[in-house]
Amino acid sequence: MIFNSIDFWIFFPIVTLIYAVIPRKLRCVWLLIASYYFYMCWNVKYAALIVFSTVVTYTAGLLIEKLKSRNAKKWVMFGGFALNLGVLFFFKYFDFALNNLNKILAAFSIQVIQNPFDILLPVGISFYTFQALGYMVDVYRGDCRAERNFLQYALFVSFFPQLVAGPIERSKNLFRQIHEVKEKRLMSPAAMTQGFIMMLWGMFMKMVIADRVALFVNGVFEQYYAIGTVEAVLGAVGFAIQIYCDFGGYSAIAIGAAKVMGFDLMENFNTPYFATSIADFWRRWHISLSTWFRDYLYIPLGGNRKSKFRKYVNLMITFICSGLWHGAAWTYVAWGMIHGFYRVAGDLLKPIREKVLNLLQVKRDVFSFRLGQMAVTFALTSFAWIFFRAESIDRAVLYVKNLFLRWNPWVIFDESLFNYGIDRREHLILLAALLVLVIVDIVRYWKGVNLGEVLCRQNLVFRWLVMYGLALSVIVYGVYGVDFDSSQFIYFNF
Amino acid sequence: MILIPASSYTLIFNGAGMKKGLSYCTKCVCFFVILALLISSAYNALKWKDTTGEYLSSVEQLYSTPEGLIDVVFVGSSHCYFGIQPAVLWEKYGIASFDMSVSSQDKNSAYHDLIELYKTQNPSVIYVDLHALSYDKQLVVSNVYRNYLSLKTSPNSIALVNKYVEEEDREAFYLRFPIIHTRYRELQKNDFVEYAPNSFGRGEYITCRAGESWLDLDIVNDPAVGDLSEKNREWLENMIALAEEHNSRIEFIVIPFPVGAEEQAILNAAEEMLAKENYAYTDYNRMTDQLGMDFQKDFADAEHLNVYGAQKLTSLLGEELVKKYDLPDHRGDERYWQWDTDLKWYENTLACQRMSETVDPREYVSVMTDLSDCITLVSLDGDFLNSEIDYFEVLEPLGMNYEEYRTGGKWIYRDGRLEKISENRIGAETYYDFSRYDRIKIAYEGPMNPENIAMGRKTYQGSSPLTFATYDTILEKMAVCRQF
Repeated sequence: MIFNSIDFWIFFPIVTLIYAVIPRKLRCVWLLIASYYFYMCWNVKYAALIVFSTVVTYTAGLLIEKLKSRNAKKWVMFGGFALNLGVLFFFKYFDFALNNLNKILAAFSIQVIQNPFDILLPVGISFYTFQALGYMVDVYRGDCRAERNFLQYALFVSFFPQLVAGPIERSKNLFRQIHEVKEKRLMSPAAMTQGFIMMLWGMFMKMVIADRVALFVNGVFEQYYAIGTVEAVLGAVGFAIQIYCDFGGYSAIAIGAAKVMGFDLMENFNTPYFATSIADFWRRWHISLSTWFRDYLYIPLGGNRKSKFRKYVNLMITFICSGLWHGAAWTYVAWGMIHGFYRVAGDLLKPIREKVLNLLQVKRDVFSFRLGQMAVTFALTSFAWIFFRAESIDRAVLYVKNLFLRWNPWVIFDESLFNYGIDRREHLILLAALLVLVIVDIVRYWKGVNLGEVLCRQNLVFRWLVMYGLALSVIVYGVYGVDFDSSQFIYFNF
Repeated sequence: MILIPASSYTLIFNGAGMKKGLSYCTKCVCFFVILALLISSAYNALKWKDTTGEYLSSVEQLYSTPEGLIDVVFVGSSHCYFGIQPAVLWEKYGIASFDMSVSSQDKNSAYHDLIELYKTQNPSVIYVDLHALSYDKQLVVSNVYRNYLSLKTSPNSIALVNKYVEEEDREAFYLRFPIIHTRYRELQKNDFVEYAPNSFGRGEYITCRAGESWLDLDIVNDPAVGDLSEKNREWLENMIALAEEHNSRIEFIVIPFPVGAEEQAILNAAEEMLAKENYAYTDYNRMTDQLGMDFQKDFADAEHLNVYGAQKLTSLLGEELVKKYDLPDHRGDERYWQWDTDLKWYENTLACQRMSETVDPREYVSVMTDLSDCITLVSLDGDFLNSEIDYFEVLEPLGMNYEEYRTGGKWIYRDGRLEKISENRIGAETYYDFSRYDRIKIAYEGPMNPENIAMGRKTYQGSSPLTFATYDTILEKMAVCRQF
C-alpha cells in the first residue's frame, strides 16, 4: 500500500477513526495490527522479516540491560547487529556482491557462481532495520531503557506512517509517545488539521511535481548518450527536484499521518536546497538518516576527535556507507564518495577560500553572498545526483562528458526540450507547481515553520482555500491513473 | 470523525472538551462537503462525455429524456447512429424512437445500455443491430471509454465494467478520476457548458458528407453458415431475455455496410438461430436495391451511411414498423418536445447543407427563409451596386428596403424580420449576441476588409459584396457562411 493510492486513503481514515474510539489500552494493539496489515498489503511473507528484526532487537535490548559485563553487552549488541545486517545483506546486497565476485572470477577465467536465490528486495528493510539497530545502541549506551512490553516495542519498529521510508525514528522520541498512548488523551484539532495539511502537501509534492518532473528526467536519462549540455543540466536539476519532492513528499505524508493520530515524528527535510554548504545540506537533507550515521557510525569511528586525517577517513567511510545504504550499486557508492569528497575538499580548501574572499573583500553577511553559496551547493548536489540516478557508472561518466563537452544552447529556443517526456502545457503546470514549492520553502526557510503550522495560524477561509487548491491540484494535475506509469516513491527501494 | 459518537469526543480531543470537539467536527463536515462539491464540479468538467464524437452523447440524451416516452429503441454501434434517424420516424409517423447506440458498442455495452434505458423507459419494440457479433474486444482506447465510462455509476455500470475490464484496472474505471483527470489537456467549452443536442438529440449523428462505399453481393448472398461463438449465442439469448422480461418485442437487423465473408457467415448463423426461435431478422445489406442505396452518395465513409442513406433506410424501416406494430402518434404532444427539436436540428442540417452547396444566392435566401432557430447576418459591402448580380432582387424576399439597400451595411435576419444594424461608415462598430457565448463584431474598416465581420479569431467578410453568415441557435454555432 503506498500513500498515493486510493487504498491508503480508505485505510487511513478507518484506522484513525477506530484508533480514536477504541479503549485506550487497545490502541497500541490496534496500531500494531494496522501497521502489519499496511506492510502485508505489499508482501505477506516478508512481514516475517520485521517480526525477526523485532524479536532479535527486543531480546538483545533486554539482555544488554540485564548483563553486567560491558564485554558481554558488546557481544550481544554485535550479535544483534550481525543478525540484522545479515538479513539486510542477504536481501539487499547478496546479488550485488555475487555479481562483483563473478566479475573478479571471470577476470581470472574462473567459472562464475550461479545465484541460487530469486530475491525480491523487501520494501523499507533498510529503514526499519536501522531504526531497530539504533534502539539497541541507545540501550547499550544507556540513552534509553530496554522496552519490556513486546507489543509496544513491535509498534516502535513497525509504526506504519514511517515503516517503509522513514523518518528513521529515535527510540527516545517514539517510545515516549507510544507509552503516552495509554495515558494521555489524543489528537488536538490543531494537530489534526496540521497533519492533514501536511498529507495534502506531501501528495502535491509527490504527484504534481515529482512524478511530472520524473517524466522529463526519465526522457533525458534514457537519452544519456545523445544529450547536450542544456539537457544534461536540466536533467540533473530535474532529478534534484524530483528526488526532493518524491522523498520530501513521502516524509510530509508520513509526518502528517502520524500527526493526525497524535504522534510527532522527527523532521526529515528542512529546505535542503537552501543549504549554503555541503555540511549544511546534510543537516537539512534526510535528517533522520544523516543524524543516524552521525550518531551511530561517524562518532563511534572517532568523528573529528582524532587527527584531521582520521576525520577525513571517517567522513569518507560514513558517506560511502550512506551511499551503499541507498542501494546495492556502484552508482550509489560513487554518489556517497562524491559527497565525502565535497566535505573533505571543502575542509581542506577552507583556508584558501577564506584568503581569496578576504583578498577580494567579499562581504559575507549579505544576502547575495548566501544566495551564491546556495547556488554553488545546489550545483554540487545536483552534479552528485547524476551518479545516483544513472543506471551505471559508465553511463554517468558519459552523461558528465556530455554535460561539459556538448554545448547546445539552441535547444532552449527550438522547442526540442519538449521532446523529453512532457510537452509545453506540462512544463507550464510544472513551473506553476514549482513556484508554489519555492514559496512554501522560502516561508519555511525564513519563518522556520512548515506549511501546516503556517496555515493553522491563518484565518479559516484562507486555510481552506489553500487546502482545496492542493486537493484539487492533486486530483486533476496529479500524475496517476492509466495514462501514466505512476512511479512508486523512490525511497521505498532503499 | 463524522461517525464518532458524541460521548467519545472528550477522549479524542486533547483538552478541547465536548463543545470544542463538536465545533471542530462541524467544521470538518463543512470542509469535506465543500470539497466533495468541488470534486464533483471537477468531475463534471472532466468526465468522458462523448459516445458518438463531437460531444454528442446518446447516454446523456437518454438521461435527459423524461420517463416513459420512448416507444422504439435501436441498439447498436456507429452503424446505428449514422444509419437510423429518429427524426424521420417522428416526422412521418410521430413514432418516439431513440438510438441507444455508442461508437463501437460491443455486446456487453449493448446489454447494459439497454438495462440502463429500461430504468426509465418502457419501449414496445427493440431493434438490435448485429454488428457487435463480429468483435469481442475494443480496438480503440477512446471507444473503451465511450462504452465503459459513460453510464452513471450504479450496480449496472459496475457490472458492465466487471465484464470487460481486467481486475487490476477496475478500480480506475469505478473511480473514473484515474482515467479522466488527464482530460485537463483537452477541455473545451462543451466540457463546461452542455452541448445543446445532448438535451434533445435522440441518439443519432447527422452528417451530409459523402464518401465512397461498396458491397460485395456475392458475400451478402452467400448462404454459408459460420460458427456462432458461445459469447455471441449468449448475448443474443440475453438480449432476447431482457427485452421479454420488459414486455418489449425484439427484432434483429443488419444496417448496410461493406460486410466481409467471415462476418456474413456469423450473421447467417445468427439468422439461423433466431429463425429457429421465431425472432425477426432483417439484413438490409440484402435490400440495398429496394432501398435505392447509392454507394457513391449515401455513405459518409466506407462503413457508415450519411443522412441521405439514413433517410432511405429509416423510411423503409418505418413503413415496416407501422405495418407490424400499433405504435401511437405522439406529434403535437408537448411532452415530446425533444423529438420536435430533434426534427428541427435534422431539417436545419439538411437546409444548411443546401445553403453551403448552392451557387445561387436566391436559393440561399429561399432556404434561409424556411429555417427556424437560425439567425443570419447579411452584409452588403464594396461595389455591390455595379455588380452583374442584382443584389436587391436577391434580398427583396427577406423584406429589404431599397433605401437601406442603396447605402449597403449589415442586417440581421431573424424570425422572418430583417433589421439593419450597421452602416458602411468608417469607424462604425457594433456587436450582436447570437447566443450566450457567441458575440459577433460588426464593423466597417474599409471596403471588403476581413475584419468587418469577426467572431473571436474568425473573420467572415469575403471578397464578394454579399455575405450571409447563418448562425444555428439550436447548436449554438455558426452553421454556414457564404459570399456571392
